[in-house]
Amino acid sequence: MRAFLTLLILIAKITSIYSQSNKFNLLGQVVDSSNIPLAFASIYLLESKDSSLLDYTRAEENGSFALKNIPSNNYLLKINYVGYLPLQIKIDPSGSSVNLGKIILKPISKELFEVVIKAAKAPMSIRGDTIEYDASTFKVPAGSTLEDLLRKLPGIEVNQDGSIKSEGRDVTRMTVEGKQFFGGDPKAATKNLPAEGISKVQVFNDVSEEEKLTGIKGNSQDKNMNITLKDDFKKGGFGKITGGIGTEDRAELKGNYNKFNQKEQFSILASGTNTGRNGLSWNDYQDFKGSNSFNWNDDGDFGFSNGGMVRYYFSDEDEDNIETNFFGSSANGFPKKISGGLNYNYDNKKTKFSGTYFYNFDELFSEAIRSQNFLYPDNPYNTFDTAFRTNTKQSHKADLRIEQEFDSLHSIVFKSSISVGGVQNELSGFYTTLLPSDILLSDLSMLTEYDNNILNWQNSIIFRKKFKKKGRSLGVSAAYLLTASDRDSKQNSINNFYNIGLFIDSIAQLNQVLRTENNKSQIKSSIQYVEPIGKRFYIQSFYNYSDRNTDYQRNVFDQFQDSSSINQFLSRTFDNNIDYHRVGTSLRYSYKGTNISLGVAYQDIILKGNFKTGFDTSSTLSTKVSYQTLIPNLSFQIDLKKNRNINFEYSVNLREPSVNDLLPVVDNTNPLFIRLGNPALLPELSHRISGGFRKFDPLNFTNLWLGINYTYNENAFVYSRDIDLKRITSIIPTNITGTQSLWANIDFGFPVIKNKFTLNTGYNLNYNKGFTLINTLKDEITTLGHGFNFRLNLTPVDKFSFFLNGNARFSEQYSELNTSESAKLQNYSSGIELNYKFPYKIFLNSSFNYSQFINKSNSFNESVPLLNISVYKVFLKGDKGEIRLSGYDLFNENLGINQSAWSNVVTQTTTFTLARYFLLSFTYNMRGIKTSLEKNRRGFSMG
Amino acid sequence: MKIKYQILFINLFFLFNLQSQNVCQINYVRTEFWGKIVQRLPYLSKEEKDRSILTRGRDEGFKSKYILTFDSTQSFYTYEEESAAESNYGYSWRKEDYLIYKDFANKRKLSQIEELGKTYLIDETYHRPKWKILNEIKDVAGYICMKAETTDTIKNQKITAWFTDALTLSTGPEEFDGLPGTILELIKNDGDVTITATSVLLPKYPLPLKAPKMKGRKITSFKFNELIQKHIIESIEAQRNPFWSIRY
Repeated sequence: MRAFLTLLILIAKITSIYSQSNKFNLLGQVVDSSNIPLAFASIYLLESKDSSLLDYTRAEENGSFALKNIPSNNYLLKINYVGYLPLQIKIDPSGSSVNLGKIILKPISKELFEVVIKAAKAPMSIRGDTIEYDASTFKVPAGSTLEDLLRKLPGIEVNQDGSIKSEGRDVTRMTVEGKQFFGGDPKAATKNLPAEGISKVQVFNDVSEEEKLTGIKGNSQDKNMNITLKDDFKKGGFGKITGGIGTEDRAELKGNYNKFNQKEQFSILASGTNTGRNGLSWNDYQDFKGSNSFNWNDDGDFGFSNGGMVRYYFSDEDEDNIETNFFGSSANGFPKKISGGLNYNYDNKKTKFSGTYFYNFDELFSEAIRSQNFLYPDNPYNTFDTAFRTNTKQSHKADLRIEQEFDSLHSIVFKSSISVGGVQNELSGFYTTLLPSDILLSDLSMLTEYDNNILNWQNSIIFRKKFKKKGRSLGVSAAYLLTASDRDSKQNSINNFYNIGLFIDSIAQLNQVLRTENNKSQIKSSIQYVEPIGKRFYIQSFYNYSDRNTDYQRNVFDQFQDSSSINQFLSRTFDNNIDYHRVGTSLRYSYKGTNISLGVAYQDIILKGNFKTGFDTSSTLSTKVSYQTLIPNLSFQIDLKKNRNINFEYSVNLREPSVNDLLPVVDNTNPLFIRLGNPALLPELSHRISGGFRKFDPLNFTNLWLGINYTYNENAFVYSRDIDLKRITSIIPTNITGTQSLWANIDFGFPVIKNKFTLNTGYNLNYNKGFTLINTLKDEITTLGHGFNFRLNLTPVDKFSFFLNGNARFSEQYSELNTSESAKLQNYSSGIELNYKFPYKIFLNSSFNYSQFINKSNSFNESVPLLNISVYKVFLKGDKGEIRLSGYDLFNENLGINQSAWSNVVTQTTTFTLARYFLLSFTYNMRGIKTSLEKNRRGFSMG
Repeated sequence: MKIKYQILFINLFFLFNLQSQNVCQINYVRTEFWGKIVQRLPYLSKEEKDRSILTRGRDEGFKSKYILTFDSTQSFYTYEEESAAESNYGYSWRKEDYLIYKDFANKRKLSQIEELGKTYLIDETYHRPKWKILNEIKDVAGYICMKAETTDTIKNQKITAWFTDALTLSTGPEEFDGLPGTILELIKNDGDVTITATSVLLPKYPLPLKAPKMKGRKITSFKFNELIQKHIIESIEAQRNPFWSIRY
């Protein structure tokens, strides 16, 4: 019993000692160097190994604090008080209570506090007594050295001779990244290192801290400074080059190089190909243009939804466009493209500058066969043509863009671009006109060539002002555009007419030389003012002005054996002027995802034109018309819950007639189509309703998209045709009310097996009602088209991806008068893409496309199977090289086929195009070639 | 008699003070740098990542405004109301529901978060995250703040917080709190997203803070985090940026 009790007491004593040594109390008092208590100082108890916060408290008014019952362990105690260096103390538990006594905090020097923390807002790091801060937040002019930067730092003086003092003490040694710099003499570093490369400046008060960092024993009397440099990762350069050579004289070469730093981007790009493929892509565009790729707010044509000013249409045959297609030609035939340029961007937060130079050369040779069925009820006929075309286009283009922010309320954007170039065209064609049952009516052999030199100059400026009242803003824009073109052309044609049977009835022959000068200039300006009303509404008002001038002169010369004379009937001069004013306003509601806008505009267009034939100025025809219209506009876009979005717009658009259509002139440039003008022509007014609904489920990756578009036209432009027995057509424009078109579309995509198998299906409907006037007979033509499409993505493993798509399009055209004839067209296409990643970085890309074109009315049935296979291997260190062998159109069946039905005319075109060829190419990419398969196809990448 | 009135007056004074809970307000700006966020997507090649940064040029970030309202024991954090005309060119996007309410007295955290198409209501007991206190100080919105670090294990992000002990409530923006002071700046992944206080208002008027009405589909914190993690894994596998549809 006694032994048991003794044991019990012994156990109790041991456990009590144990429990006592398990916990302890921590006490202390926080004061400053003058022994004044620092009231309510913050006390933090941290784990010693990783500084994790365990507990915290506040000191009392007299600076004393007590942390009770802390488990026995190693700790760090951190004490913090504003204006003083935070202090960290190691706590080793001993006994039941640790009393730290008076804990003295050292103040942060006033100058350091004011300059570094308050003024520069730089973070300051404290380790023991060492203070380190980010010197890069101190601004020095470009090109400054470290010495200039040091002069700005608080507590540091730099003397005339370059010697440095920190808080009164000499800095005798300086190290860079912990290492000695040219013998350790501070002046070597301060005079040679650039300020913009400096990241941090460390000044050591405590010798032992410095030793820890640099490993160098220091002198306690002097101070030592350590400089750390900025990472070089913000600078860089990269490039890529691809070259390929193939059968059928095919070759490709493409290369680009970029150099950039924080403020500037420079890029150079060159590409040449005669395959019509692998031209420049969106990725190349973004790499070339850099930060100037997309400028979202450069539209100065203010209107209902930031734009929407009436665009003008020019139906002149002498029009050519030298605007380059950056992305390469997808035209049928045999293309050749050479392009290249330089781009420079400078971005300084307040000033943005971009300059680009781009050269482009495009050549297309094509041979095409076209058949057309004119399904007119009383006089139907068909045409069959063969044409050989060579088209060359070249241009030099330079453009610049400057964006300047004067302050937070004012900014200006100025853009200017100039392009100089030309278009050359050679056409040799044979056109036959046949009555039904293949009875030959006429044939035309034509040889034309022309050379057009074009200059384009565009300038625009937009000034934006924000007012002090939030939401109130003003925008002013102005632009000047100029296009000048000079065209020389030669035309030779022989036109034979036949009477039933192969009998030559009459021959008309033309040998002409034409010289055309076409100058267009436009000045336009717009103003926009936005005024907020409360938090949810605002009023947007705008005024647009445009003045457009055209000066056109065409001289036609008839060529005889040894002389030429001017053809007065075909030569002409005309000039026109279009004056446009529009003033409008809209009330808008924008709140929590709901945006509604209701507006109206008043539009005034004045058209003036003068026309004279030949050089004779005596007979001048003039026209002057003006149209005033009131145009309403209603739209809403609503963002709903569950990632749904709905939008709707009702708008009215006015299209004024071209001046050529107004002038009562006979234009018989083309002997088969003679154009006449109609001075009583009214402008076309279209009412348009469009709507859409979109839903995306981010959890399941399903998406639904619905869209609908309906247009109703008043006074639509319809060209009335009078066709004579020789099938020469005279065309005169008229107005007919009631043409309509409807387009509706539904698209649904969903995963069958998430991330492995997704399916996308769609249907679209196309309905069009138009009118034709043939020999004064009015016919209503209805076109109805259905389209079905589906897309299947199979990506079960990372090594393999399979995409299957199919497309079917059915369209039918009915004529009210000619119920027996209706055009029934069917277009089918399907495609398969298969990609596989083999071991040893070998890849397979293959695609198979099958297209079929059927016309039920004339038994036209053509199909084109296209199989492309390419195998490539990625090699070199860092995956920088790629060698690829590709075969295109392995069945050698490529043809460019097009079929369409419009306004009672069915057209089928077959263009001979580049067929089977093989290509061996090599790519070197400084940044490495991607070695994983794509699961989705992306357009331009913003990540 | 006089002493009685004095005592009464002093009692009333204390009563008045106890009932007046001063409501403070901090305005924050959340800036998202999508160029930096894109750098972390593992399925993009170096070329694609570079292209994303270079096309953006000098990126000022995508900014949105929030307000933290708090008194001595509670806080709630949500969007700041914006007017129509000052938003992006007058177009308003619908913002997903986001409201975080913290009751430190009752150790309760109530979050109304709309994520992936549904609004969830998460009711959980408050627990303090594990913070590391570091050795840097800086000024944010006029207050001297100290640096602290933690890790968001759900989204795998490094969180840096700058807190000030001048404001005693241990709260902060979004779901972060638990420091010996109020967090005035929060940085995710070294700058991909920053949430910085722009102004601190300490009005002297007494106004009781009412917990706002919050509706949503009830879910536990564990299940909600599981949902987020699953979505991140599936998006990366599908080669889609997961943060197009969830909050970074």
